Amino acid sequence: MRFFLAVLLLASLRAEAAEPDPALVAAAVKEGTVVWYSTLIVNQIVRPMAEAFEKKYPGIKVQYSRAASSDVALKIRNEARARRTQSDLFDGSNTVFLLEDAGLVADYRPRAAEDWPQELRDKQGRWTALNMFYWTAAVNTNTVKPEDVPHSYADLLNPRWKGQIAWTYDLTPGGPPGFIYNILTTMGQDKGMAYLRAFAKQEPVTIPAAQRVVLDKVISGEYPLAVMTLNYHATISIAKGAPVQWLRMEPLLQSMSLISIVNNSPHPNAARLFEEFMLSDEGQKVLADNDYLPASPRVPAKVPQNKPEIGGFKVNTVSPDQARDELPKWVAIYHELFR
Amino acid sequence: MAGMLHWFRHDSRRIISITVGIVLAVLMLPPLYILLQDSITTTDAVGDVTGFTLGHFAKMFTDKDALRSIWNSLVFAAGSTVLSLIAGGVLAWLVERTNAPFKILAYLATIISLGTPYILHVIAWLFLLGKVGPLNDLYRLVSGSTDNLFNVNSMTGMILIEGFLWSPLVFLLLGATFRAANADMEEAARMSGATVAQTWRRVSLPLAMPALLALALFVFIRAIGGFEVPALVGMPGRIYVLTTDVYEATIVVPPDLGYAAAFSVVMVAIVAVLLYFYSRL
Repeated sequence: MRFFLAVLLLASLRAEAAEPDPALVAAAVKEGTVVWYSTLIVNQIVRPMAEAFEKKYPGIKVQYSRAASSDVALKIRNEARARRTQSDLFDGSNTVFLLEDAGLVADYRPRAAEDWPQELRDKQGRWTALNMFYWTAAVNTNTVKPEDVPHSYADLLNPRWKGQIAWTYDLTPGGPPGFIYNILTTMGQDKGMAYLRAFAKQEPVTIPAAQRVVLDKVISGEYPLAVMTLNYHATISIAKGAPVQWLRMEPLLQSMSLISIVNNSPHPNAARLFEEFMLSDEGQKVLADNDYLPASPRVPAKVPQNKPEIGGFKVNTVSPDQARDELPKWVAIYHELFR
Repeated sequence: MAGMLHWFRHDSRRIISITVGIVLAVLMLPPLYILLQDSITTTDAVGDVTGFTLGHFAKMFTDKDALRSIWNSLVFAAGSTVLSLIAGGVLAWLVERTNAPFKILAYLATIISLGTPYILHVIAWLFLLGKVGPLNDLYRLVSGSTDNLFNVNSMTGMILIEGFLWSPLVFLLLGATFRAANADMEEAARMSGATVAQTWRRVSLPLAMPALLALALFVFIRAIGGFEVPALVGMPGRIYVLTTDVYEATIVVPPDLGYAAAFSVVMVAIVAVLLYFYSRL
């Protein structure tokens, strides 16, 4: 019942999605191409999104390449230095911060997101949230008995988990630094640092791979428990019968992938149109259909319980600005305690 | 006419070496220049050079973690070199100098091994020796314990895997050396009353020494620059070497390219010294 009420509420936010300005569409079609540097998984979302856009606007071809946040930023930066900017828009949780000081990010406030909560949009228009991440612990349901499943961060300090907790080596808010941030902001500086020191004694194992791979190691039984994994990754695997469960270890950490437009890009109108499409109900639905968690408050996730409004779990948000300003501090704590 | 021919022959050789030199310079010098520049400069947000600094090197030579990484690199490379020489060398000697059966297996395994990408080797070893691998599973089954017999994510595990990665190559090259060396000398030693051990120590080993040293340097250099084993085996065990430190400095946000470049320059220096000795062998 609560679920239906929530869906009804979301649907009533706006009866229909605004179609983009016909002048923008015409200018974009004239440009004919849009180049997207993505940090997302090609088969899972980049290709379906590009295909949906090309289907709606047959005159525009989407070209894409995929790399990690830092690599995407370096590529855009180096192209700009050589005065050969190739890309029109890019996404990523951290990419924009590596580029905005260099003046490589265009300001654009997409119409499709104009009624979204402020935390999902940059005031200046440098970025808009594309999809949401909820970071939490996951457990192997075969190797961990129900009564042993940890429920709180304090439970992670149980001696039985020493050397048994896996996490990624990704030094972004989606990895150990995000965990450190979450602990420090929810427990306070002193208690938080005491907790982190105790957690370091548990010797969490740094897996040299992405968060998805860490979860796969939990599923294969190599590690019974992992932290900083994504809840929707677990539900994708559960649907395929994997012995895994994501835990409501509250608060979960909320972060987001951001979409931005490159300054002085070769196809500025096509870039705007593509961004409008990705943030429209239609584009957000493509995300949801492919298991991602849409940023739009109007579009529910494929497994609606994976978002806090319907899932009813508490979250602690790491805002893009905090991530930019404080990440080096969290990385320093990681280096001090966990390396 | 004969003079012309001589001139042309002489000159064609010179042309080839100059051409190869230019190609190598074009391929190698620009990245090396960028590396050196990045290691001693500061840059702004756009990536343009803003000034000179020795800070990257200073950080490296004062940071406890960085020094430990340099030490780990040396231990790792030395350990893998010794292991690969022993494993490959003993096998080569057995195959070329004794009547051990199933010699063909040694060649077959070597060729299969050389045809397999190193990353797959590493993953296969990790499956075998890892926490849920058959060896630890068997140990848990037999002993009833829930612990592991062997922690692969250790320096020992790294050396073991890297050493076995290179032992097929050592086997092939030393095998060729043993085959080319005249067995008469060993036979003469045996006829003169030397034991197998004495023959090996006073005849076989000195004969193979140049090849052994060259291989040792080769494996050492490759291990210093190796990345698969340090990343996949070392990092989960919190054992960092030069290559994984370089990698980590490039993946943090924002990437610390100056620090990564400083690490790389140290690696280039170590390898350059080793290559100098390698070329003099």
